[in-house]
Amino acid sequence: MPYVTRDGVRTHYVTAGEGPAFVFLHPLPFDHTVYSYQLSHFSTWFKCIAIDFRGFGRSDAVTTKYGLGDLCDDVLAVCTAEGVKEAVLLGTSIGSKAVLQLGLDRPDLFKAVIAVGAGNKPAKDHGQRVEAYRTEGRDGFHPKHLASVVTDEFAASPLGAYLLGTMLERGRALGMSGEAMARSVGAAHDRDLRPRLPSMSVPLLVINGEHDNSLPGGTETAKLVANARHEILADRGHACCLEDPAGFDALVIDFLTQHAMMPKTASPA
Amino acid sequence: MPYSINNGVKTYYEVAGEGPPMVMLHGSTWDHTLWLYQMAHFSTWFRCIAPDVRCFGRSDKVTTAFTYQDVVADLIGVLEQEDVKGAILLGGSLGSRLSVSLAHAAPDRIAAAVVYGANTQASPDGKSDADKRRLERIRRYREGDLGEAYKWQLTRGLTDDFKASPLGQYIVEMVMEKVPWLNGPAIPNLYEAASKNDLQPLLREIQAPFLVVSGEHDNSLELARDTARRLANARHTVLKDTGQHCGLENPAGFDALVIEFLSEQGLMPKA
Repeated sequence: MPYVTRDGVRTHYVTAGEGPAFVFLHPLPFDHTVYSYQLSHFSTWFKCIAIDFRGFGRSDAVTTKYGLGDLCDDVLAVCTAEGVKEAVLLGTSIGSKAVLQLGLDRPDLFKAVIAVGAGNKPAKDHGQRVEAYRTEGRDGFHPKHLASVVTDEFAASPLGAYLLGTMLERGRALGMSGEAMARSVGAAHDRDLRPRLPSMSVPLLVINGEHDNSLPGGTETAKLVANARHEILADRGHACCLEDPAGFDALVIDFLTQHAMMPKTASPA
Repeated sequence: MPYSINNGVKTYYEVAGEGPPMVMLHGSTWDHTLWLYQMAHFSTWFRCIAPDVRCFGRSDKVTTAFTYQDVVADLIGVLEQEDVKGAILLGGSLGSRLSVSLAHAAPDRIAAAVVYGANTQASPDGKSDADKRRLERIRRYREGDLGEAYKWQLTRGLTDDFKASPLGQYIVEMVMEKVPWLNGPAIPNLYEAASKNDLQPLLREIQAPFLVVSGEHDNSLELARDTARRLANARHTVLKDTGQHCGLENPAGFDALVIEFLSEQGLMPKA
């Protein structure tokens, strides 16, 4: 399966489908499998590229300090390896911060961007999560962190419990480390994007679940970016791609159609 | 994403994960999307390979007549290209027949299988219920609208509850969006080919352990139980409250059965 190595750090990613490039950046504390519905769906029209951030999935568990800029450079290294000239970019939570940073820095590459969550500055309580991964370890805190990014109803449902459970299994089986996960939380909260957001020129869709802690931040982001579109999914939490794939995908398709970036369903060659 | 070519026919497949090989074979009508939960889950421990059977998904739509053995050869081509040995097979509906055929034709490549909708009966006189259903499918494709015929077949193995649910509608619609890829006249070729092939004489010769799962509301449940009885090394189990496509309707229950079975067989990789 594909990896790129940049500065000695390996980043794992998967590809699915054929067509224009569509890059997916997962939220913490998931890996790329959080987008299983979207990869199955959008692979009909796009070459989907779903990246594991360092510390998650099969990417290296980096236990030294790094920042959001390093994660963005990892994403760019994957795009280079896959020969991507133009792409749609979607990210949730930490992924949405990378989306905003990359949308600002590389409008030549990313032609339409979707930020789910879209917080734009360090969260006041993020230090608690860093500490919790350090003191409780992966097995102590990963379950709590996962539960906090979905609604209670979803976590308690058979399907929700299964999906969260499979992510916990991956954490154990793939040897994800509490220290590496702590470093990732740190990277997600290392900068204030607000000063630069008014200069964002690419089309931006901000999505928040109604019960998403990032809703105030996402609302602010959507106001700071001219021509940004803001959509709220009723009754959903932070990981709304998983809780409501039908509603989530419909918003993405509508946004891409609005910007003439939704390919027709061609016959395969 | 990869293609394998067998006698000029392209088979598309997706790969996910690392570890021993696990090959997932969908039924007629669907494509590899049927296994979206299992690809995400089992890629934790296995290199998962999910082909689109000819006539479906991104694989070639073959409009000339072909045999069931041609379809088996397509899949052996994928196994050869991916250098697969000792694979776990997951098979649903037609995929369960293909699992039986692969375990028989290439025993060194197949370690074990979990199958559902495992009706392996052939009925040369066309009078069995299964045969009547097949003839009805063919009639719909040859005489009716492709989209309607496809949707009818797609939803037949699903419970009413699942079909009516937002998630069920989303998944069915996801597969329906690919109808423009399909060739109507090609699809009945697959049903004709499968119907001419009697698998039952092979069953007692297959040494690989099989778990035969039936959704409680699968109308081929008794036929699957019969399949399990005839296989040399198999057991049958029922998953409650689901239709035929139990991996899709109840991934938690189905995956748990797979993991339990593989653990019993010493085939579940250690963490």
